[in-house]
Amino acid sequence: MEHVCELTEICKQYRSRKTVHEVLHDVSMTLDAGEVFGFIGPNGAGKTTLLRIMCGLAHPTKGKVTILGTDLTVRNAQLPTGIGVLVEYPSFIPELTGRRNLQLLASIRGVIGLPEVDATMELMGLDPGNKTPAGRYSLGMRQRLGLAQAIMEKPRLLLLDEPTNGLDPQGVAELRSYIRHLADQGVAIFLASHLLNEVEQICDRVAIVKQGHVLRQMSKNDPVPYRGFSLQVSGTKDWSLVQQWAAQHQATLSQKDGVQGGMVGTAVPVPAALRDLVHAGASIESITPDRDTLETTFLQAIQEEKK
Amino acid sequence: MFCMMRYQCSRLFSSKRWLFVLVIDAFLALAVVLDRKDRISYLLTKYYISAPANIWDVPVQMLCADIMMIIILVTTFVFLVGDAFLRDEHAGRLPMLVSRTRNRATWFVSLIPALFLAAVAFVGAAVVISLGIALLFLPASTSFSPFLTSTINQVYSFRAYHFLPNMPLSPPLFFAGLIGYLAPALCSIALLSVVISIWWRQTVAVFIPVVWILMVDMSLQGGVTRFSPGGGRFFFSTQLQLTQHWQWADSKITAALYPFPVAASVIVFGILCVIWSALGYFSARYVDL
Repeated sequence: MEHVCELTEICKQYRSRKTVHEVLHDVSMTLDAGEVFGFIGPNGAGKTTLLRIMCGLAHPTKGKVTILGTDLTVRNAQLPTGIGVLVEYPSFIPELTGRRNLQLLASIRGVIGLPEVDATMELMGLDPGNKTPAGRYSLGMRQRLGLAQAIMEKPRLLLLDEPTNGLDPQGVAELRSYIRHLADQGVAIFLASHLLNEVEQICDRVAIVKQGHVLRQMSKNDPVPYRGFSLQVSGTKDWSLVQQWAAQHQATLSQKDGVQGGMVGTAVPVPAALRDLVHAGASIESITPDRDTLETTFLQAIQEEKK
Repeated sequence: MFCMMRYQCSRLFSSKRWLFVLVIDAFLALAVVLDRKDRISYLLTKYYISAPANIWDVPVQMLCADIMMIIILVTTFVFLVGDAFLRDEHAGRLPMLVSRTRNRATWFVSLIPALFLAAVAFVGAAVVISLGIALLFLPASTSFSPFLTSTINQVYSFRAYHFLPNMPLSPPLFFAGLIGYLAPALCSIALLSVVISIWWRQTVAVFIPVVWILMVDMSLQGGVTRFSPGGGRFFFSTQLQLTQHWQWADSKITAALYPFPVAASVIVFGILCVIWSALGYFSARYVDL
């Protein structure tokens, strides 16, 4: 199956008089229809540069970029249709209304009309009848307008740079579910962000990038190392039952100060451990598997890179 | 392409900077009116010459005298539209626009007619506003004023620019021609500003053509004209002034632009527009936007 987006060993260098600054180094990735790919890294990691290369604004110094079947590294290649782009802090013609801005943008491709523009605005929580010029929109409203322009023509590939910038918590939750909805409809989504929680919740695959180098690529389906679980019990009697269980299963136990609970290091899966403990009569308040989160993986990758 | 052009026009014409342009036009027109009244009263008291002015004096002075035309209006026009690329780039609009086209250069190609229309509107606005201000202070007339067309030496040397004494065109036709003359000239300057800013993304880059006209072209033109009066015709700052085509036309001294018909200058502006457009097209196509 042809990938919606395929990047092969992308390098991007900017030359000044004396120095060569490498923004991207050998970045390779693929993105398929219905997939959400997260590109995370600190500021200056090269996220925006990669996004600019993917939408045809910049040329890579080395490597091959194929977007929707078009090789963008061919200098006079026609740009593919079917890309929706949201840049960080989108800006519009400040003197025109949001609706007029979207109408003008939609007219360039000419595949949708005013009813679709209005419907997309409503979907993004914007009032098409609002006569306020876009220049007076709040950051959140501008972001919603930016998202509306990116999705209004039903693109096959959606490139999002920090899409939750300026959105309120409700807006973030709505956007998250809408991105998943789009992916379920077969849209390939590339999401550049530095918000780990956001990426972890939405993305199927993630690349951790630092100073243009991809440090690690992970998939939601990759096996996650299991180290045990953390639990909290009701009283001292229950904690002694946990200690007995730990001794029987050669599990390590570290109790948190002042709390009837702690970390249990074991290979026994959570359901089996829970069943045993309840069966022994322990009253369990909470139990959480101890797995690597995206945050711990990210910090680990950054630390390894430093070493 | 047409829709992209509509987008570019909407962007250029909805800019609040037009308010600044209108203020500058009104200020210049007022300055011309006051200056003209002063000159006419001086002529009357010193030489007993009566050469009254009328409303047409104001737009002619504003759009044909080098000090106002080149220094203020050209600079204002570049300020108005010259940073079209930089504004789209800084505002992050380029990805939204370019991803909607099949060709990276469409953005630039669609800007060319939009800049030309902006130049027409800019000169048109200067004519209309100067006439509006002039109407408040000077008498209306259907023909050019005695001050403007006088051949008396004292008046002639007092005008500080040159106007054909027996101008065959009526004022409306003259100004229609002036708009048609200045629009490609201003468009060529603005295009050069945009092309330079694609390569050097600093606001200062936008004003390089203006600085070049003011500091290099005008200085050289002054120097060359001193030694060879006809040499001034080859300079852009001379070409920008339509009335220069008639400078020295009635003089025994060597002609400046006189041997060049007006059409020759328009063709020069057109050629410059084509050169900068071609350069901009290839820049937009091959340089990172």
